[in-house]
Amino acid sequence: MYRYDEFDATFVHERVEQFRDQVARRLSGELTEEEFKPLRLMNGLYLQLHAYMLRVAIPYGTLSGTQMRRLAHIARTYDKGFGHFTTRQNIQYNWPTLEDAPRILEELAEVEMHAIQTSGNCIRNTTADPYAGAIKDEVEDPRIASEVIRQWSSLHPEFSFLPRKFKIAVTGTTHDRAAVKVHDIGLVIKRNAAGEVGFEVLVGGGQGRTPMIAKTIRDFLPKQYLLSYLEAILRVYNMLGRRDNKYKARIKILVHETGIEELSRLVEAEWESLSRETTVDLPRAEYERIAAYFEPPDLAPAEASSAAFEAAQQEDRDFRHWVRTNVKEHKVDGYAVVDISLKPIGGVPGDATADQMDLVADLAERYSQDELRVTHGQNLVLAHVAKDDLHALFKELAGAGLATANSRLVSDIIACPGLDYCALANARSIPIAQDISRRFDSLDRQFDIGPLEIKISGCINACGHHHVGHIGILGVDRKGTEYYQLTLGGRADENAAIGKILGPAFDADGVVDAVETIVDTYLEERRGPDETFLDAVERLGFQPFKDRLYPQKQAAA
Amino acid sequence: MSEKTRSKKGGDKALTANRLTDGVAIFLATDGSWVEDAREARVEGDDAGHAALEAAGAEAEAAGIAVGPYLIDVARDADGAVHPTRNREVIRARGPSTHPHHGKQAEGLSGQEAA
Repeated sequence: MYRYDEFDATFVHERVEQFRDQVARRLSGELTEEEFKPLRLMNGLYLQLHAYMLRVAIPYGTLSGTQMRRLAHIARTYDKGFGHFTTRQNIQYNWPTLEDAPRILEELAEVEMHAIQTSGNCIRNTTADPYAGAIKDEVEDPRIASEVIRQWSSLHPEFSFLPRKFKIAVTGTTHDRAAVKVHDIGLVIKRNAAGEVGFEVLVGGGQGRTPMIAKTIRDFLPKQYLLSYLEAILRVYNMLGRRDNKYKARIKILVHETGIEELSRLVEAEWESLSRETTVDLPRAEYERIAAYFEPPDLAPAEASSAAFEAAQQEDRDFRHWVRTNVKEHKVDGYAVVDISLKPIGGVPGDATADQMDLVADLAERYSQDELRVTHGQNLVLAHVAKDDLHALFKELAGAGLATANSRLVSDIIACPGLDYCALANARSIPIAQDISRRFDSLDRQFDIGPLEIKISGCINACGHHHVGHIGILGVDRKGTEYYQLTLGGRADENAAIGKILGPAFDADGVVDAVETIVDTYLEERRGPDETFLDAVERLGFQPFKDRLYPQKQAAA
Repeated sequence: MSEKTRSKKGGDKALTANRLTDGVAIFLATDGSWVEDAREARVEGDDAGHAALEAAGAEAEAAGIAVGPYLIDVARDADGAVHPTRNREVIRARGPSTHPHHGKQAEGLSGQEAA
């Protein structure tokens, strides 16, 4: 894992002291809310429905046991004993006080964490594949580029007041687990014909009220030019991005209005002009210094499978099911990548108690090289677990309600905080996720359905990624009543697509029945268990689903 | 005032805000203090009353008590207790519907359930 150097540590501690002074001046009345609001937002402190909310950055979703334990301590000491992991691989606390905020940031700084740039029109936390460094077909660990971007983008003077917020995601494999095509910039690490490592650069993806899939602006960017090329894109966006209308200010609108060819020409011209001035590109030695922090752990290869592991699966049915869903192949024989579900049946997606966080910290230290990951699907990952340890790990997780076997199944739902917490929301998201999860609580039924991603947002800002849900659910307010609009066919992987609206919205009770109707229709219409939900939707189109969901409409037609 | 916090024109209204120190939802009471329980909110039903509420809000904001005060639509139940009518404000007055042991509902400070 990356460790702060002296500069990083000094900078973060100084920032805490600045914020402590700003909070004191706000509380004394020296600063008005209008003056203070941009300062607190720069430090991740929002004001929501019931209290302040602090969003803490988890760079590319990677944490040490010590850091996770500190997050647990903060949840226990300054919040109500839990934290909420988000779709941007961060954590949010829903109940901190303004008076405590500087102390919380100080406690974070002590373990090399902060909340800087988790809000505002700046470059946000760069996200990455949660299986980074552990999966077989990876060209390079995406966290190296993510860390390079983190250092470059932190308090970048030119890009601290962009037209809108800016999100970058990186994947090192062709199978995309980082949703790069729905980010402002997506980076796919690849090799060119000569075997050199570089990036496919995608630009202009995003969700919100105008969802768009990113377009490739450069098929292959040699690795050494990463920062100068990003700088060129950001410069063009900063100059041409719209500031007159916040709903049209994201780079996706610029790409759409300018066209990718013209934007590419402008970026290339800016890039060439930049290279004549100076360069922000890292010297090879500095890139390698950062890369050294992400060297793969020294795992002694073992047998691909072990007698103890196989025997445990035979004897323990729950373990066998969990292995089937939540355990993935590691690049080193004898090891596995483990998904820790934060989606217990009927639970709040992404929530973890302080005790659960403490336990996961211990487990990371004991079983996974003192490292864990947060996924954009609001779960956790232990990336380097010996197969011989899996059963012991499973039993410890199960004892804390953390061994739900549902990774990427129908109850592994993404949901934003919605109207239960969020000042922007129109409708609640979490209760819908809970009801759907309860409706599909049978694991046999979930296995039968197969991979199916449901994603729920409580407003059009789409923090719950509903646009890219296989089934997407968008909460809306109609004359004081919550309604839910369904979309179908979205996906966030390398074949990313925006889901399309099925028809009229349902009320809170009706939407759970509607989801079940969609699932039942799929089960009846599919060619067999090998035809996934998405494949069936593609083959069948929307009509069979509409016929079942809106029978009156069909009868009237 | 944002679209989210806009109340309908006319009718019974109370004044709400977030408390500066901890962000908790608060309501202007009849005695001029700020309380956490919406049921104790001062209610005004005409333009002059609404203006008086807003003036009190501006004063509380300047005094560093309240952040972002705004008017909300309210009604009285059979016992005369005040409760917000919009879903968003019902949830603010109670706490998150998914965590009944968190927020005002956990302390017995609650109106009716969210619609």
